[in-house]
Amino acid sequence: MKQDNPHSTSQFGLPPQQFATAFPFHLVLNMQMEILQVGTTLQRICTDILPSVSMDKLFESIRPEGIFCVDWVLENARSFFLFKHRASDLKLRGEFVFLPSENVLLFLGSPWFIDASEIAIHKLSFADFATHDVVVDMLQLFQVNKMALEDANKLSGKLTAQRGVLRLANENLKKQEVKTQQLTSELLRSRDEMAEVVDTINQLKEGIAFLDCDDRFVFTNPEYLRMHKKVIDSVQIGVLFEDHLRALFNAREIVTHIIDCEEWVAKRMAAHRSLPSEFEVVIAGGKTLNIREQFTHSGGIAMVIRDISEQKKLQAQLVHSSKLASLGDMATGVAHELNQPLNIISMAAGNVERTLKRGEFGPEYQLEKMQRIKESVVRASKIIGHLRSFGRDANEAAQPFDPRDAVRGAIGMIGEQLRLSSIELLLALPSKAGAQVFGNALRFEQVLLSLIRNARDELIAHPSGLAPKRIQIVVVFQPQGQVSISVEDNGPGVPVALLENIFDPFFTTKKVGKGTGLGLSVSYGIVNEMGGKIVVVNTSGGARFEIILPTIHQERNPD
Amino acid sequence: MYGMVNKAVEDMVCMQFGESVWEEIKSCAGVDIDVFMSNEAYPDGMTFQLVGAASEVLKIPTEAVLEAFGEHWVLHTAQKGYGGLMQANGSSLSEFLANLPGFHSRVQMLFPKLQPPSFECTDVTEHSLKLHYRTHRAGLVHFVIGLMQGLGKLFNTPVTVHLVESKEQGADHDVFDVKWSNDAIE
Repeated sequence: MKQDNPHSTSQFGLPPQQFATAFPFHLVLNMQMEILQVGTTLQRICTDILPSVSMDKLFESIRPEGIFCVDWVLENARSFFLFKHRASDLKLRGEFVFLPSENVLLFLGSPWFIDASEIAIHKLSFADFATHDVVVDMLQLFQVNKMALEDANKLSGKLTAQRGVLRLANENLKKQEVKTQQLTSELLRSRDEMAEVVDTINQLKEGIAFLDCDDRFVFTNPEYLRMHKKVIDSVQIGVLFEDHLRALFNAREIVTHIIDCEEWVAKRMAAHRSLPSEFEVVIAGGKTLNIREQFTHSGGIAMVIRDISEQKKLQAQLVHSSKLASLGDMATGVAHELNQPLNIISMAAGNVERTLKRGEFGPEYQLEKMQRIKESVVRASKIIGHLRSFGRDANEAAQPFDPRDAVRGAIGMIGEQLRLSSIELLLALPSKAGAQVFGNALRFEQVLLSLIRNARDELIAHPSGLAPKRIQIVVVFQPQGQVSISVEDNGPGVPVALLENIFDPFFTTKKVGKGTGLGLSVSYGIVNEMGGKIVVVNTSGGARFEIILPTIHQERNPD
Repeated sequence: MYGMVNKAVEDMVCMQFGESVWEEIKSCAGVDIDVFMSNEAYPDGMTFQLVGAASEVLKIPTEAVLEAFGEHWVLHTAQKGYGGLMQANGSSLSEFLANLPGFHSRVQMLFPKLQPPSFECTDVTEHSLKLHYRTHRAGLVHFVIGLMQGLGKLFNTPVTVHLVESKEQGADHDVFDVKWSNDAIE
């Protein structure tokens, strides 16, 4: 409560109109705490504040607590007062000033808001407040603080969200790191393994090449490069395989009867596209290459090229030595074959000699005998000629021949032996000439001889009691451009366990020193070279080897 | 300008086009700030860059962006930021415009770094006044037009605003002829 200060420099007061403008929310009370005067703005919003109405009917005091009376006001003279209008929620904050000369109390204050929105609720505007009133500025300050808090909350929220994202990213990063480490170690291991594989491949004597899905070279080992050193540019990484073939043809690296490059490339590509495939080619210098092609897991093509020239040479030597062995083995039969014409010659010559001695000159008789001698000489010559040709080295070029002739030739060589071994020979040859096969006739005859001798040896080694020993040879021309030549015996058959590897090199069921025949693996190779196949099955009463050969009208692998 | 201005641009773009477009605009403007602090002063150039980038990304003329921004400022940003103060500044368009100079004076006390424009109303009649706009910033005429249109919508009063004197054309300051009717907007 303000007291008049005798030393105050204030000498001026406000006239009533300016006072009302400066304090639009003021109250003037008498000593009974009844309203004497009310500010115009306050009266506009609180219409129940009327003269002579008691203060405690209009307001309740929030600060300080107490009942409205002059003493209570004077006791709390140094405090600010906060009232609540009973009829509304409007709060008034201010101070009391005692005017002893007037014997009245002045309440100087203004509405107390903590949110600007309350101003409009009480139908007020900033213009209703005195310019010096700080309530408006405080409200704006509150608002500014509120916005700052909202900004801080928003920033905090964003930071929290970002921290969450970072935490998650960090966890993922750690997981990724572990995975990367695993992948790295796997990669390193794979790289080592791959290096080992590549190293091994690079040391192979086979030429290895890989093509990608677009048929371009992606890998070649040193041996492959060496094999193609004359066309080295055509086996570089990225070169199209088809272009490589053209380079091979144009460099005359391939031995073929085809004279047109594109025709040969087309044929070779046809084989290249029907995988897996395996075939042999003869290249410049007479070397023979075995080529195998197959798809890789990634859809590319792996090619393996092996120089089998040495193997071919050994095979030829084996065939030749086998034939020489056969000749010795067949001496008995050959002697018998020769004996017949020799006996005829001897007898005919003896008869002519006797008639000459008796002086019986019957030119017709003698001419007939001479004719028989001549025929027998021809027959003996044929036998000797066949023996001679059989003993030659069979490196002659392949050419068409009648498979029945090969069968006849083989039987001519071994037929007598079979008879002496009490083995019945059943021969079923088509009477009409069929298509021919393509290959080396002598080698094929050797294959047949080998099969017949194997059958003979088995029948002798495993006699089956009273049943007659029998070998049956059947030749059938099949309509689909093939011929079947089978050799079947009524022996014990091939043990089941051996059926799978009977064509493997060096495989034999005979005792050491007994296996003088051509190995089945070599027979397999010769038949394979002719584009055919040889299979063995056990029949109900023995074993049957069947050779299937394409006739020369059938398509063969390109060179 | 204070952060609340940039926030208002952000708010307008996000409300109408989504956050991803706002990120694109920020990127286009070369602004790398996640949250604008309302009470922090930012370079004026940043606000103009954001408005320019919004024009470029949204393929809307800068003037239209500024007018839309002015409307948004009144109807959303100021409502949210100091809605109470806005309402307390007047209950009608004419009252609000009359109190506008005092409003900015008070705002300036709260934001010491603020360089607010000044508004002055002259030739006040029942349905019109001349609004004198003084600022050291150039290029915000359309923002003021947007503000007036926003106030018209806020007080449900049809309003027309015409620039009658232009600082750009050599006048001392910009003067707008503001007219309104008492018919509520349908």
